[in-house]
Amino acid sequence: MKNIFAVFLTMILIGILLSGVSELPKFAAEKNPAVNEVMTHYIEKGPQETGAMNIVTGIILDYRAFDTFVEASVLFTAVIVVIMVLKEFYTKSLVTGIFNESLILREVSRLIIPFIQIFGIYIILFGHLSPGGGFAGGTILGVSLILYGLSNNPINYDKKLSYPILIRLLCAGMLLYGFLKGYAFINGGSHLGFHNPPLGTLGNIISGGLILPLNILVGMVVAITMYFFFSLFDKGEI
Amino acid sequence: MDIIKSFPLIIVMVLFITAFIIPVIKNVKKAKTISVSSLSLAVLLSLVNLVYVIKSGTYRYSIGHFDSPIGIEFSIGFIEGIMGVLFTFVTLMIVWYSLYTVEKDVKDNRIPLYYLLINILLASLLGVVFTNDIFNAYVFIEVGTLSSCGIIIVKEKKQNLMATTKYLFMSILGSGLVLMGIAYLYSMTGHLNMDYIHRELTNVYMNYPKAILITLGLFTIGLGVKSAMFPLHTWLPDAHSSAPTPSSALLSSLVIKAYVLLLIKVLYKIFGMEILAQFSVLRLILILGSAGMIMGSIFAIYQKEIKRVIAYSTVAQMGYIFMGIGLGSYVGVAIAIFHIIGHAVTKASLFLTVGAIIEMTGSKKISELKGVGREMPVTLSLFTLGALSMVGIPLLPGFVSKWNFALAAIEKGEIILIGVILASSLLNAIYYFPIVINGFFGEENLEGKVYKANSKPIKELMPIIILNFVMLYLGTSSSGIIQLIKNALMQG
Amino acid sequence: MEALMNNYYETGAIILFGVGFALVLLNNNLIKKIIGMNIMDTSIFLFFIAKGYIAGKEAPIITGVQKSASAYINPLPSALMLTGIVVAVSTTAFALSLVVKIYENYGTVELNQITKFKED
Repeated sequence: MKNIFAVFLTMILIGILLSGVSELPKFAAEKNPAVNEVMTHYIEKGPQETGAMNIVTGIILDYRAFDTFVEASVLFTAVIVVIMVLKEFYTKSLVTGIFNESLILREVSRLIIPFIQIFGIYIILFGHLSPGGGFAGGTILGVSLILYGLSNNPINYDKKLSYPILIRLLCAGMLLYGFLKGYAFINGGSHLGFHNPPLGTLGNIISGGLILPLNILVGMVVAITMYFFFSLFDKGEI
Repeated sequence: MDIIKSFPLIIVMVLFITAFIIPVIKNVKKAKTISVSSLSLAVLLSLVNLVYVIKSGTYRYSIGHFDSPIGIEFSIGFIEGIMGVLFTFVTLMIVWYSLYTVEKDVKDNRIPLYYLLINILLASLLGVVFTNDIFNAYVFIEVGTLSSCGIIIVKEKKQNLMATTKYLFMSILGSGLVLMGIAYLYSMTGHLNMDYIHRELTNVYMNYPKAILITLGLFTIGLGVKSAMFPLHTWLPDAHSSAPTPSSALLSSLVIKAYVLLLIKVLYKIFGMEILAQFSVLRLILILGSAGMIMGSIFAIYQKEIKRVIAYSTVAQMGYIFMGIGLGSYVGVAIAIFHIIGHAVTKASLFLTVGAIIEMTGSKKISELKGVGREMPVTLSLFTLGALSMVGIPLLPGFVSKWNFALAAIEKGEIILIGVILASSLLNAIYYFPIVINGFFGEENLEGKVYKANSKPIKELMPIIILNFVMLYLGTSSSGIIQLIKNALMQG
Repeated sequence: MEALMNNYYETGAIILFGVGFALVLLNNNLIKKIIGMNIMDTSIFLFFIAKGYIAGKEAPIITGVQKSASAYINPLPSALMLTGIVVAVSTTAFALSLVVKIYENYGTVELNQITKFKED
């Protein structure tokens, strides 16, 4: 009985929303309301003003950089809350369960992980020249760390990927991001006229002002976040 | 003096940056010092900002060197200025109170993380209030959801777990609906800045009759879930009553208010009065608000634990605010915003006094709190002052709000609302007065029972005393504030 | 009906939204509810990103010579949804960690059994 009521309610919801969609502008039309002076400004003046050939990266790290800063702190807050819920702060031995050693997994991952990391670093560094950026590259780096954690015995690496080192890297990354971006915001908003990072020539790697350091910081934060999530859910601690 | 224009952004960035430092600090005392100093700086900056706004009027501040609509901007008027002062001041008082009591609820190694989450929560609420860009407001809503769930779950008990789960699931549903509303708005107008959306909407709204109605509904339900509109309030009693005391004070007095402010901005700044007059969304909000006023109080009468009574009282008071929004005139909205300010201060004081009583007597049920006035006279009289404001005794902000709501209802011709306001005040008295009277004069529990209670030292009750002074000041000098709010609303 | 068939991306997104909503309402298991919420969020991303497409234009990355503004699609919805996806991941992670704690405390993730436990 309750199921029928729930399905009925869903049908009504879909019907209401669809009746609104039928009035919206046509899909993939040329004369959308969304095609206005904002979009032409982003495309025409984007590369000159931000120094990035990938216009989407220019938008998220220069025009709407405040959104990206708050989003990075969403990641940070999620990590803190998950640590607060799941991490046991008592000294528990790291090797609590039985770790099934698999020779094939360990040897193959030892071969593959460097390539994955090089690919991730490439995507982060070239974020403003080709598709990619800090978030995508950071996820790939995090995946390589997860593979490392899955295939090796925790006793062997708990000195390298330990909680104090990683949390300090995370906090340092967010602090640096806050200071760099805070300086840029107040400098621009109050028209203080302080020194801006140079934009460089279009097409080089070292170009785009603050975009390259921010991409690296964002990538580091996302990679550490991915590793924390895996380690807390899998082993119950870091 | 243009540097003052950047103070709102500096407040938000300072709160975030101090929050990023805390996880590496293990010493509890240092974490408390960092938290209190950052909050005091925030209060000072927002006071200076408020004085500047009263003198110079509304201004817009672009973040980065790109103006809107290319970039993001903050729009600060009198309403945002006074909300900034209110949020930072109440949080400072709550954190001051919690300096002495947080060790009893929270384990030692989690206390720095608790203050971190309070900083991030305050920064996200200020961001929602200050911003002029609707997608920016959505991201700030998400930060607020995560951190407000965090400050409930910091105390690890079973009932906290289920309460947080319910709150989190309903919040995620609400945010999803808000994001869909933003998608509809963007596809109709192509802008994300609130002023520009308003300009475009007044040109094109004839083409999309059904889509605008759906967008209004999505925003109302999405933000109504997060600010406890009547049938969607079911998460509130569990979440607010099982959290540790400073967290419940923070949640009840500040968090739900920021989302109601965003709803006011969406309805009156983005859509505007002409479009709203053609749809009946305001009437729906009015009906739901009135229902919330009555039903919240009726539920409160049947509760046996004192924190749940006050949580249901919050639902009833939010009903007043929704009724003010639903009236559809600038006067109604101005009174609703004044009620937000008054209720925030009063509810924070109520929750903190109740927390002191629970901590000192060790019991949460009303029936076991009779006669506590002998042991803790100062605390119980502070509670009485807050309860009188909720019921609507003159000289206190509760009375000012109800009187002005009645005047606004007469002006709009809705006489039946006066009856609703009177009935709800009566119901408020039915559940507040027994607590006060039994507390001072109740005899039955005192025989043969030794309270392990003494009153808390005055030094620890200072924040509550300061909050009550502010409450009295609001009650007596309210007309000036209401006039300033009305002016700010008329200018847009 | 014509308009719905033309805007087929948006129609598909709304149907997915309904599917996710039904999953949240119909299921007892907490993990299935979280999957339902994820589907709802993903459908909103699809809805938004489809708004950016203009037929016949190419992706907004400049390779070689920069063409005029009418040769690229709208870059703004893609940039906004990058933020949205990260936010959805964070809230899903937090919800799942709460479910882990619930399993540790109650021994089950079925909602009706948990409410029976609470009433005891």
